[in-house]
Amino acid sequence: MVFGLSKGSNLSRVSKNYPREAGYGHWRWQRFSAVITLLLMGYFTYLMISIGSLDYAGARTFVATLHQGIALSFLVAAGLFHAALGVQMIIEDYVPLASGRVTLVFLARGIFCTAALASVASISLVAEWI
Amino acid sequence: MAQPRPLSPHLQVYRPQLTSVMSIMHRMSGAVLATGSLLLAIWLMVLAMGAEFFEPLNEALKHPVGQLVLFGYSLALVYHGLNGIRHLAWDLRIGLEIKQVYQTGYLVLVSTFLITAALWFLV
Repeated sequence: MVFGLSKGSNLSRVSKNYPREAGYGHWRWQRFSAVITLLLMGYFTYLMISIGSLDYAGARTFVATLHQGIALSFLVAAGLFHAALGVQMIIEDYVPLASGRVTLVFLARGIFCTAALASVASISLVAEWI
Repeated sequence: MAQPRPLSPHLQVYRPQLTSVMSIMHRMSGAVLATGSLLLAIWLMVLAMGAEFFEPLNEALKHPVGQLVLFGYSLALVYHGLNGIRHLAWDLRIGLEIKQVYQTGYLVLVSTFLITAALWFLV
Protein backbone atom coordinates (compact mmCIF):
# COMPACT_ATOMS: atom_id res chain seq x y z
CA MET A 1 0.00 0.00 0.00
CA VAL A 2 1.22 3.47 -0.84
CA PHE A 3 1.31 5.79 2.20
CA GLY A 4 -2.08 7.45 2.55
CA LEU A 5 -3.98 5.20 0.14
CA SER A 6 -6.17 2.42 1.42
CA LYS A 7 -5.91 -0.99 -0.18
CA GLY A 8 -8.21 -1.44 -3.14
CA SER A 9 -8.77 2.28 -3.82
CA ASN A 10 -8.53 3.49 -7.42
CA LEU A 11 -5.40 5.45 -6.62
CA SER A 12 -3.65 2.49 -4.99
CA ARG A 13 -4.48 0.33 -8.04
CA VAL A 14 -2.90 2.97 -10.27
CA SER A 15 0.11 3.12 -7.97
CA LYS A 16 0.47 -0.65 -8.11
CA ASN A 17 0.70 -0.49 -11.88
CA TYR A 18 3.09 2.45 -11.83
CA PRO A 19 4.68 2.11 -8.40
CA ARG A 20 7.86 4.15 -8.70
CA GLU A 21 7.39 7.15 -10.96
CA ALA A 22 10.17 9.73 -10.63
CA GLY A 23 7.99 12.11 -8.57
CA TYR A 24 7.00 9.49 -6.00
CA GLY A 25 10.32 9.58 -4.15
CA HIS A 26 10.19 13.38 -3.98
CA TRP A 27 6.60 13.29 -2.69
CA ARG A 28 7.43 10.66 -0.05
CA TRP A 29 10.56 12.43 1.23
CA GLN A 30 8.75 15.76 1.32
CA ARG A 31 6.05 14.25 3.58
CA PHE A 32 8.61 12.45 5.73
CA SER A 33 10.69 15.60 6.28
CA ALA A 34 7.46 17.59 6.86
CA VAL A 35 6.46 15.28 9.72
CA ILE A 36 9.93 15.55 11.31
CA THR A 37 9.92 19.34 10.91
CA LEU A 38 6.38 19.55 12.29
CA LEU A 39 7.47 17.70 15.43
CA LEU A 40 10.14 20.39 15.90
CA MET A 41 7.89 23.29 14.84
CA GLY A 42 7.03 24.47 18.33
CA TYR A 43 10.71 24.56 19.22
CA PHE A 44 11.58 26.32 15.96
CA THR A 45 8.97 29.04 16.55
CA TYR A 46 10.20 29.57 20.11
CA LEU A 47 13.75 29.76 18.75
CA MET A 48 12.86 32.36 16.11
CA ILE A 49 11.27 34.62 18.70
CA SER A 50 13.90 34.24 21.41
CA ILE A 51 17.19 34.45 19.49
CA GLY A 52 16.75 38.17 18.86
CA SER A 53 17.11 38.91 22.57
CA LEU A 54 20.26 36.84 23.15
CA ASP A 55 23.72 38.40 23.34
CA TYR A 56 26.84 36.58 22.12
CA ALA A 57 27.59 34.78 25.42
CA GLY A 58 23.92 33.89 25.89
CA ALA A 59 23.63 32.56 22.35
CA ARG A 60 26.75 30.39 22.75
CA THR A 61 25.47 29.02 26.06
CA PHE A 62 22.09 28.36 24.47
CA VAL A 63 23.55 26.41 21.51
CA ALA A 64 26.15 24.63 23.64
CA THR A 65 23.48 23.12 25.90
CA LEU A 66 23.33 19.46 24.91
CA HIS A 67 19.61 19.15 24.25
CA GLN A 68 19.45 22.51 22.43
CA GLY A 69 22.41 21.52 20.23
CA ILE A 70 20.88 18.17 19.34
CA ALA A 71 17.43 19.68 18.65
CA LEU A 72 19.01 22.44 16.54
CA SER A 73 21.01 19.89 14.53
CA PHE A 74 17.89 17.85 13.76
CA LEU A 75 16.00 21.02 12.98
CA VAL A 76 18.47 22.43 10.45
CA ALA A 77 18.98 19.03 8.81
CA ALA A 78 15.27 18.21 8.43
CA GLY A 79 14.20 21.81 7.80
CA LEU A 80 16.78 22.54 5.11
CA PHE A 81 16.11 19.16 3.45
CA HIS A 82 12.37 19.95 3.40
CA ALA A 83 13.16 23.46 2.11
CA ALA A 84 15.29 22.04 -0.72
CA LEU A 85 12.45 19.74 -1.80
CA GLY A 86 9.92 22.58 -1.61
CA VAL A 87 12.10 24.97 -3.62
CA GLN A 88 12.61 22.21 -6.21
CA MET A 89 8.81 21.89 -6.55
CA ILE A 90 8.40 25.65 -7.00
CA ILE A 91 11.17 25.73 -9.63
CA GLU A 92 9.62 22.78 -11.49
CA ASP A 93 6.19 24.45 -11.50
CA TYR A 94 7.21 27.94 -12.54
CA VAL A 95 10.49 27.76 -14.47
CA PRO A 96 10.29 26.46 -18.06
CA LEU A 97 12.72 23.64 -18.87
CA ALA A 98 14.44 25.71 -21.54
CA SER A 99 15.21 28.45 -19.02
CA GLY A 100 17.61 26.26 -17.06
CA ARG A 101 15.21 24.48 -14.68
CA VAL A 102 17.55 21.54 -14.07
CA THR A 103 20.51 23.80 -13.33
CA LEU A 104 18.42 25.81 -10.87
CA VAL A 105 17.28 22.64 -9.08
CA PHE A 106 20.88 21.46 -8.64
CA LEU A 107 21.96 24.95 -7.56
CA ALA A 108 19.21 25.01 -4.90
CA ARG A 109 20.18 21.55 -3.68
CA GLY A 110 23.82 22.64 -3.44
CA ILE A 111 22.96 25.78 -1.46
CA PHE A 112 20.70 23.99 1.05
CA CYS A 113 23.08 21.04 1.44
CA THR A 114 26.01 23.41 2.09
CA ALA A 115 23.91 25.41 4.58
CA ALA A 116 22.91 22.23 6.44
CA LEU A 117 26.48 20.95 6.66
CA ALA A 118 27.82 24.37 7.72
CA SER A 119 25.08 24.69 10.35
CA VAL A 120 25.75 21.29 11.93
CA ALA A 121 29.51 22.00 11.85
CA SER A 122 28.90 25.38 13.53
CA ILE A 123 26.75 23.82 16.25
CA SER A 124 29.43 21.14 16.81
CA LEU A 125 32.14 23.82 17.14
CA VAL A 126 30.12 25.96 19.57
CA ALA A 127 29.10 22.92 21.64
CA GLU A 128 32.72 21.65 21.48
CA TRP A 129 31.66 18.28 20.09
CA ILE A 130 34.61 18.48 17.67
CA MET B 1 13.99 18.33 -26.20
CA ALA B 2 10.88 18.08 -24.05
CA GLN B 3 7.74 19.88 -25.18
CA PRO B 4 6.99 23.07 -23.26
CA ARG B 5 4.15 22.51 -20.80
CA PRO B 6 1.81 24.95 -19.11
CA LEU B 7 3.06 26.27 -15.80
CA SER B 8 0.82 26.15 -12.72
CA PRO B 9 -1.22 27.55 -11.07
CA HIS B 10 -2.78 29.67 -13.88
CA LEU B 11 -3.34 32.65 -11.61
CA GLN B 12 -4.68 34.71 -14.48
CA VAL B 13 -7.47 32.22 -15.26
CA TYR B 14 -9.19 31.43 -11.96
CA ARG B 15 -11.11 33.73 -9.61
CA PRO B 16 -9.41 33.71 -6.17
CA GLN B 17 -11.11 31.42 -3.61
CA LEU B 18 -10.16 30.54 -0.04
CA THR B 19 -8.77 27.20 -1.25
CA SER B 20 -6.58 28.63 -4.00
CA VAL B 21 -5.44 31.62 -1.94
CA MET B 22 -4.43 29.37 0.98
CA SER B 23 -2.61 27.04 -1.40
CA ILE B 24 -0.63 29.96 -2.84
CA MET B 25 0.01 31.26 0.70
CA HIS B 26 1.37 27.83 1.62
CA ARG B 27 3.91 28.11 -1.17
CA MET B 28 4.74 31.72 -0.37
CA SER B 29 5.20 30.95 3.33
CA GLY B 30 7.36 27.97 2.32
CA ALA B 31 9.54 30.27 0.24
CA VAL B 32 9.83 32.70 3.17
CA LEU B 33 10.78 29.83 5.49
CA ALA B 34 13.36 28.47 3.02
CA THR B 35 15.02 31.90 2.95
CA GLY B 36 14.72 32.20 6.73
CA SER B 37 16.30 28.77 7.19
CA LEU B 38 19.35 30.07 5.36
CA LEU B 39 19.40 33.06 7.73
CA LEU B 40 19.33 30.63 10.68
CA ALA B 41 22.29 28.84 9.10
CA ILE B 42 24.14 32.18 8.79
CA TRP B 43 23.27 32.98 12.45
CA LEU B 44 24.83 29.66 13.54
CA MET B 45 27.91 30.21 11.36
CA VAL B 46 28.64 33.73 12.68
CA LEU B 47 28.09 32.43 16.21
CA ALA B 48 30.83 29.87 15.64
CA MET B 49 33.10 32.44 13.96
CA GLY B 50 33.24 34.82 16.94
CA ALA B 51 31.73 37.88 18.62
CA GLU B 52 33.03 40.33 16.00
CA PHE B 53 30.99 38.52 13.33
CA PHE B 54 28.00 37.80 15.56
CA GLU B 55 27.34 41.27 17.01
CA PRO B 56 26.42 43.10 13.75
CA LEU B 57 23.83 40.41 12.88
CA ASN B 58 22.53 40.40 16.46
CA GLU B 59 22.14 44.18 16.43
CA ALA B 60 20.21 43.91 13.16
CA LEU B 61 17.88 41.32 14.73
CA LYS B 62 17.24 43.54 17.76
CA HIS B 63 16.39 46.52 15.54
CA PRO B 64 12.62 47.10 15.00
CA VAL B 65 13.04 46.10 11.35
CA GLY B 66 14.80 42.91 12.44
CA GLN B 67 12.02 42.19 14.94
CA LEU B 68 9.47 42.76 12.16
CA VAL B 69 11.34 40.27 9.99
CA LEU B 70 11.34 37.73 12.84
CA PHE B 71 7.62 38.36 13.42
CA GLY B 72 6.86 37.79 9.73
CA TYR B 73 9.01 34.69 9.80
CA SER B 74 7.21 33.28 12.85
CA LEU B 75 3.84 34.08 11.22
CA ALA B 76 4.91 32.17 8.08
CA LEU B 77 6.21 29.33 10.23
CA VAL B 78 2.99 28.90 12.22
CA TYR B 79 0.83 29.16 9.08
CA HIS B 80 2.96 26.72 7.08
CA GLY B 81 3.02 24.26 9.98
CA LEU B 82 -0.73 24.36 10.63
CA ASN B 83 -1.62 24.26 6.95
CA GLY B 84 0.95 21.47 6.52
CA ILE B 85 -1.00 19.37 9.03
CA ARG B 86 -4.05 19.97 6.79
CA HIS B 87 -2.12 18.78 3.73
CA LEU B 88 -0.93 15.66 5.55
CA ALA B 89 -4.52 14.92 6.60
CA TRP B 90 -5.62 15.22 2.96
CA ASP B 91 -2.89 12.73 2.00
CA LEU B 92 -4.57 10.33 4.44
CA ARG B 93 -7.93 11.15 2.80
CA ILE B 94 -9.16 12.99 5.90
CA GLY B 95 -11.13 16.25 5.58
CA LEU B 96 -11.53 16.23 1.82
CA GLU B 97 -15.21 17.21 1.74
CA ILE B 98 -15.53 20.78 0.48
CA LYS B 99 -17.28 21.93 3.68
CA GLN B 100 -14.45 20.45 5.78
CA VAL B 101 -11.85 22.05 3.52
CA TYR B 102 -13.38 25.47 4.19
CA GLN B 103 -13.86 24.83 7.91
CA THR B 104 -10.26 23.72 8.41
CA GLY B 105 -9.09 26.60 6.21
CA TYR B 106 -10.74 29.20 8.44
CA LEU B 107 -9.50 27.32 11.52
CA VAL B 108 -5.92 27.49 10.25
CA LEU B 109 -6.16 31.22 9.49
CA VAL B 110 -7.61 32.14 12.89
CA SER B 111 -5.23 29.79 14.75
CA THR B 112 -2.22 31.23 12.91
CA PHE B 113 -2.91 34.76 14.13
CA LEU B 114 -3.84 33.68 17.65
CA ILE B 115 -0.83 31.38 18.15
CA THR B 116 1.65 33.85 16.67
CA ALA B 117 0.26 36.72 18.78
CA ALA B 118 0.30 34.54 21.91
CA LEU B 119 3.89 33.46 21.31
CA TRP B 120 5.13 37.04 20.91
CA PHE B 121 3.14 38.13 23.93
CA LEU B 122 4.44 35.31 26.14
CA VAL B 123 8.10 34.96 25.06
